[in-house]
Amino acid sequence: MTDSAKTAAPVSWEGGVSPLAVSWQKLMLWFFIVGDALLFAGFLAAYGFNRLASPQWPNPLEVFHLPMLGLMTFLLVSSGATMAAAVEAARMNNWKLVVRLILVTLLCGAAFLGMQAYEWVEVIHRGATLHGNPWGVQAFGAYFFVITGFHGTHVLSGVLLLAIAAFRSSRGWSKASGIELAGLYWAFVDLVWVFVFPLFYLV
Amino acid sequence: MNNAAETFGKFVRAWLMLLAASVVMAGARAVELPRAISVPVVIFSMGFMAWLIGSCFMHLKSEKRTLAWGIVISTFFAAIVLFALIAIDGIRVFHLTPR
Repeated sequence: MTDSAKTAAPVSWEGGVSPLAVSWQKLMLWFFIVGDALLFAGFLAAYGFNRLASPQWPNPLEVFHLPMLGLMTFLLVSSGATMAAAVEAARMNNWKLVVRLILVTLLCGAAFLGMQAYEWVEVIHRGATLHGNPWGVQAFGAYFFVITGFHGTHVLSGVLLLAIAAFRSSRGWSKASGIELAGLYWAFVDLVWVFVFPLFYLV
Repeated sequence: MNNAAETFGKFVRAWLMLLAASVVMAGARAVELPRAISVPVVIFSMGFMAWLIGSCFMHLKSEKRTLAWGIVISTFFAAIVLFALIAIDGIRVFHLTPR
């Protein structure tokens, strides 16, 4: 679009030349986030119904280690804060700080993934598969692997995204808007864990 | 500099509140409170944490209201539709399960 066309664009929707006054990249990411959130909502709702329908359900505290899950939550919540700070640092044009904060976020995400991998290996060694587990309810293993696996895949994609963002920022190739999008995605990963952690591991 | 400290301070406060809410949730489960208490505590903490992350870390607080409300309302209504569709199957499964 030329500059004159931009000036002439109608602003009756209060969004200027872009819908809702955000860039198309950000709006598309929000569409993705809403869609993905509904996917997780579907998983968790199905899990909830199945759990209510089962006369017995394994006690998560007997299957998983609460201290380790607490540490995983601490890492993800902390990484959300450091990434939000990185977005602000990018707006302030402090790119050295952006790189440092993204690297801290990345390390937290990688540590989270390592702990999740450890948890998976341990649960698998104890005999859990997608089709069965030693704790009785067949669906328990399936929900565990699908829900945590799907979330873990999101964390892994986020870590890769952050690695690219850190590299680009260190080279001076990044823009504040790009860091904002990476931050938005990472906060979503954090948000999903806020639901997965209590609903699957605590309740 | 003050402005920067204020901005980053906002994230530190949100982070501390998120950690506190996580401790409350895990604590409610660890001390094995009755379900009638622990479930509302967990649901309230979950909602509070989601609001904090959405408003502060996802910057919805500083977005235009039309965008913020558009996201919140569309997610909410779509989730209700999704929940209702799953509920139909869920209730059927519930009735099929031997008790």
